[in-house]
Amino acid sequence: MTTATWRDAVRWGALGGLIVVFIATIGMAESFDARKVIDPFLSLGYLSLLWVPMALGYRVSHRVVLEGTAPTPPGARDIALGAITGTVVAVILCGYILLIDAYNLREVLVNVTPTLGHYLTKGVGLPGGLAFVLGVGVALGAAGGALHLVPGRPRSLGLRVVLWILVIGLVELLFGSILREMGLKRIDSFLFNLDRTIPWYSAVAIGLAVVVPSVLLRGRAQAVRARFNTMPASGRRRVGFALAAAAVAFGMIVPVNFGPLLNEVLATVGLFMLMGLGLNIVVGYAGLLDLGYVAFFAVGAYSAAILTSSAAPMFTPELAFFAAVPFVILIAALAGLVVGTPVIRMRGDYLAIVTLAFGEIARLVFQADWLKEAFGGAQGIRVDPARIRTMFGYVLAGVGLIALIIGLLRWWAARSLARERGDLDSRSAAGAVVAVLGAAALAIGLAFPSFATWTARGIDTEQIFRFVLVFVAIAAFVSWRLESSRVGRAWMALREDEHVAEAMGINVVTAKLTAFVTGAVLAAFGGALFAIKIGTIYPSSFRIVQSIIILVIVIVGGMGSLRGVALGALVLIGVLGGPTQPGLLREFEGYKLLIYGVLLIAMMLKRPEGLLPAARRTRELHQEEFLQDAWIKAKADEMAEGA
Amino acid sequence: MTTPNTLRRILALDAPTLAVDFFLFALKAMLVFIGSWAVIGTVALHVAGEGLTAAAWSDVVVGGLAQGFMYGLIALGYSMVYGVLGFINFAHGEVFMTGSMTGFFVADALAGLWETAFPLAFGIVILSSVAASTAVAVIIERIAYRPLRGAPRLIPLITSIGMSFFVQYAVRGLVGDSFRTYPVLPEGLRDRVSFLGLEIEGIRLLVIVVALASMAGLWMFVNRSRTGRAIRAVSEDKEIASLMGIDVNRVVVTTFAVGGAMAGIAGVLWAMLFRNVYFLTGFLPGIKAFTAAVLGGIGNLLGAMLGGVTLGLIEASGPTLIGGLRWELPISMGIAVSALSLFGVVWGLRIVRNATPGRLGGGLGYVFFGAIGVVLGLVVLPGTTVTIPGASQLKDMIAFLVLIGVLMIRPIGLLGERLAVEERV
Amino acid sequence: MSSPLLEIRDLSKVFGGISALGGVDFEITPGEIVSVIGPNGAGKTTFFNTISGLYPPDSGVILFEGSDVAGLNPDQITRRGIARTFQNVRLFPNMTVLENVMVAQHCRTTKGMWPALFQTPGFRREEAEIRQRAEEILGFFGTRLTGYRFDQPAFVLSYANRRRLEIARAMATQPKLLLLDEPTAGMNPRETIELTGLIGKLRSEMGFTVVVIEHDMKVVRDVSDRVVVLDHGVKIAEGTYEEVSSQDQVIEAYLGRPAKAGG
Ligand SMILES: Nc1ncnc2c1ncn2[C@@H]1O[C@H](COP(=O)(O)OP(=O)(O)O)[C@@H](O)[C@H]1O
Ligand SMILES: [Mg+2]
Repeated sequence: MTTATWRDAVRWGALGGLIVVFIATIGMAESFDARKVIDPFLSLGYLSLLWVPMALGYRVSHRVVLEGTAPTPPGARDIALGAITGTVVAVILCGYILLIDAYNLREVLVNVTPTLGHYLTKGVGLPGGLAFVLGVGVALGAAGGALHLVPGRPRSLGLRVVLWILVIGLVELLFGSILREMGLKRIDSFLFNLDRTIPWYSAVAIGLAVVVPSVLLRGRAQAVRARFNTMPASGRRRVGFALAAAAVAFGMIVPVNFGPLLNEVLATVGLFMLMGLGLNIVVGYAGLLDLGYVAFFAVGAYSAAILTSSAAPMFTPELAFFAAVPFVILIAALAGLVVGTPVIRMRGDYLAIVTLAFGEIARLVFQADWLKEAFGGAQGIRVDPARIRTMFGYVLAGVGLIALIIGLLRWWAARSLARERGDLDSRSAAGAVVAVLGAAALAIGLAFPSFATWTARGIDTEQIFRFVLVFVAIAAFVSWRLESSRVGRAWMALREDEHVAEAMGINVVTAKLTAFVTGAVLAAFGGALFAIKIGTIYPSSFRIVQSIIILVIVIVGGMGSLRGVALGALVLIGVLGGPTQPGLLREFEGYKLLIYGVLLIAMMLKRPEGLLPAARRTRELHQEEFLQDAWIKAKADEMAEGA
Repeated sequence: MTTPNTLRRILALDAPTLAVDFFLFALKAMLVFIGSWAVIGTVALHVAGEGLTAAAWSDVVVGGLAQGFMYGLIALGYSMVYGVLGFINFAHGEVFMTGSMTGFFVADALAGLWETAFPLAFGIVILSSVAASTAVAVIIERIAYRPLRGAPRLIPLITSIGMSFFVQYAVRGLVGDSFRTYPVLPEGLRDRVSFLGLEIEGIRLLVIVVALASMAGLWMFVNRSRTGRAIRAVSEDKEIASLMGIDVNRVVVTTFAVGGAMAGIAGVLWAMLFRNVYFLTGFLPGIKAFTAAVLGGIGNLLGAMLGGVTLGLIEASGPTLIGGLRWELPISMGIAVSALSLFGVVWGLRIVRNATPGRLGGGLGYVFFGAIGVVLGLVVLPGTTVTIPGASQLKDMIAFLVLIGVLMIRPIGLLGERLAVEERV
Repeated sequence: MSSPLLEIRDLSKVFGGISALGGVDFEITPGEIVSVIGPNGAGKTTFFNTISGLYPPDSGVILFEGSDVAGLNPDQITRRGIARTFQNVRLFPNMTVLENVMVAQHCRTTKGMWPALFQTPGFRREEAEIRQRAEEILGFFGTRLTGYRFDQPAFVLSYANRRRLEIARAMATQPKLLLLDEPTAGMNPRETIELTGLIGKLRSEMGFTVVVIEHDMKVVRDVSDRVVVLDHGVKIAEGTYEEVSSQDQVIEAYLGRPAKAGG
């Protein structure tokens, strides 16, 4: 039957016990303790343990609701089961505490420190502490079970309150510096203690701030969402585009200086977002699992460094950054072809491994003494920050030229259409306006080529961040446009079924190579920006982990989903950080790859389509179930028709 | 020569495909050319007395063999899992590493016994390492792969990548990130012993012997035992096997267990040869062992061993072979290249004239690059020599190039692949 | 009559020792509907696979409109005008119904990356045309695949609708020759009758030449001008339905033959 029994509770409890012990043993709990969330009760360290009995206590009486059967109503049973689960978790933890008290395991398990037992009992000490642990376990397990009794809306509201308190408490850095920059020092000092933890009263305030508006605005948000959902697909796309454009514009224009630390993190987020968008084209659209994506990143970084730096060992044209970009694109495209061609006819998993090999080969080539004269060997190449000028005038002229051409074309097309139909179309006017604006931009750009000359330096994190943002916008725009075009459709067909795509007239060679090249160019942008940002590039910055982390971003966000990738980069890189770059939570430093690994596994097992899937892919990987539904329904239809 | 009809057929071809065929042909030709240059050059240098001494060569070969047998042992795990389930278990390198790590702690605890009664201690260490690796492999299968049975093969591959990272950093969290050094080997293993006329370091001999014995054991198990027969049945066809009453789940678990056990043995041997182990030790041997499995023919047990040994030998002799490029290409070689290329041109023209359109690209490749080869052979090559400093750094690169080359030139490997899941159109 | 649209001589294909096709000759003139029948494993699907380029033939000539297409890539063959459906329906399940049909016009359209990036007028026009043609083709099946169905992913469709969508997708490649692999498999009698009529319309309204693999003898009788019987990769009979259905060899192939030495 589907109702849980005490056996299930014990089983889940045992699992929870193992998780708790594991977290304690690898030292996560203790090293996270430095970050307090709510003073003085709760630190991230305790949080990393306490969620376990609660979540499992909730999970144990999870109901599989089969169609046509009524779920058992929640009741005291749920609480009891939760309590049992919590008890088992606590008992196991108690056993563990006794064990580490009796034996010295430190020889083998380096993180089982003498203070661990003390820490786990929250300083109560041995005999009493065990009772304390048991009590907490039972209470949390029961609370988890009791969640079933809370009706949906309060439950989600409560969840949201907890989430906000945690978010504000954990990334206080972000909120703190935003508040201070906006001149709201008062709020800042109300929210946070001197040691940047949240006192209990501001936790209450945050809770109120979440609950009150949500109660007041109740139906409003839902109505907006409903309206959005009923829009036709093209309308939704347009709204999405407008929102994204607004976000970029905001990021570009707001005069807030977030402070070097936050800017640094934001720049890293942007870099990974850029590469996530690029990998999304290769993996998400075309379905080619490229594990050596870092190779293109490296190629971009090295080519940008060599072209712009005065310190490159052999070849120093010392171009301005924007003058180097066309060459970077060219080199990256070539690299894309070189990696893409040999793997064209390989099946998917071999493609993954071979691209991985290419990724490592790239690093070994850049590192080898053999080519030291070209790439600087293990010492890398110093990128001269003063030399990276962005000649905005030329950029402006280029954009103007493109706009001029598009405007003219559009004006012309609309006019001929209007002539056919005999009425004047407003689009012809729009085309003319675009053309005129383009011409103006072109003129200004050419007249003042060094207008707004912009010197970006690695240390100037704010400029780097805005700079990265421009490229992220470009990448997002490219993906967005290609997604619903002939090229994008060909990619998706390729992803769905390569043989059939070929039989439907799609040239697999061209489609795969364009995907590889587009992805490579976007990664190379990332590399070029990385080179400016970091100042000196070493081969050891381009390891496989980098590829994997970008892959995690794409998969957690949702393959083929632009907003998914954006969110994935923002949250994962923002909080945990990149392979070598720190995120907001520095405590995670030693554990972030562990967490990335767990995320990959969990996503593949539970939600392969990602957190914010592309609408179309929503249920792709749960197809089996869905197919069955469809089949059953079809059978039923048939029977109905036959009758 | 080229009839108008042929020309029309060529022009009708699709340009990107043709270009790709061309490029691939060039790559393959280059790989083959450089490979043979390196080999011939090495031999020539050796004859000229400039190469390694015979003793040095025997060291290279024995070292390569020892390394290769360990690759082979690890490769068995990749190969068996791929044969049965059809996906690359990326986390297998980590299974190997956990075995090695466990072996260290046991060996460390038995330090006294290790010196006085080495065979006993060695046995215990191997057993515990095998136990740990097997357990880890089976647990991984249960948690991460079983729920994904039947999913598209990239899904378990991605999962296994996640698993690989998880295990690495879990191990780091548990035992720290320092290098753990195995206790010093007893006298007998540190010295060179004379074996079949060769002077071999004892430890290498031990590695080879233990690996061969494990292989033989596995061979017996797969070919003689009931479970082994079930494994083979499942890797022929899962559905039919389960129709015949074979418990597929049990077979899969056994496969992981056996693969894990082999990796555990390799783990101890590896750490005894290279003396230390840390949480990232599994990554490179893992990828290389996978290369070995592909090289031998994935799904094929003998192939895994053969692939391992081949890869070990290539890798060990790689730096020396790269040194072979120092050999100045004599005129005779240039002429030989030209002659071969000329043959290629003629061959290509034959293909172009008779072939179905699909093979035209290849034929044209022969003609084009054959012609280039003729010119190169006569004009450029004679007297060319390439010196690559720091060749020993390129060892890993050679392994990766082997992987790429095999998958380009002969994706089914030396002995052919054996898979349960065959892709049919 | 006019020269054949497709002319196949001595086509063979061997799979690991099993001869799936052993020297088949075949011909079809424009406007014909030919059925290919034969017991399971006779090599019918393999026949289609080699024509459409999914498997290169081991030997033989495949002349389509007079030029040899044997061994070309599938996309090139499709571009020349041969489209097909699959026995085990293979749609692009996560693309919408409309997209499935739009993507099949790939080889008849040209606008690549740059026009898409800048949304040039040419791109917009072509995109509109693609869409319109897709809607027209789907309209060919009545209202089954139109309206709200346009934006549904293909995997939610019923089995019969998936078969229809697959035919629509093949039509969208604007072929001259259409290869249908068991189009009525898994359909109920009503749907089968409907599809039989539709195959006729494919010729009369759309002007396609059709080769169809079919097990349902009623369908075979109703649609085909000519029937070709394969067994063990060899053509054992050819002619009108009446001629073929009375031949001993054919009946034997279907009902099994008495054990023969070396048979
Ligand atoms: N990809 C393949 N690999 C090996 N054998 C195949 C393959 N495709 C088809 N065959 C074999 O070729 C024979 C003919 O198959 P098929 O053409 O599918 O028959 P039909 O469509 O007439 O039922 C069968 O024996 C089948 O097992
Ligand atoms: Mg068939």
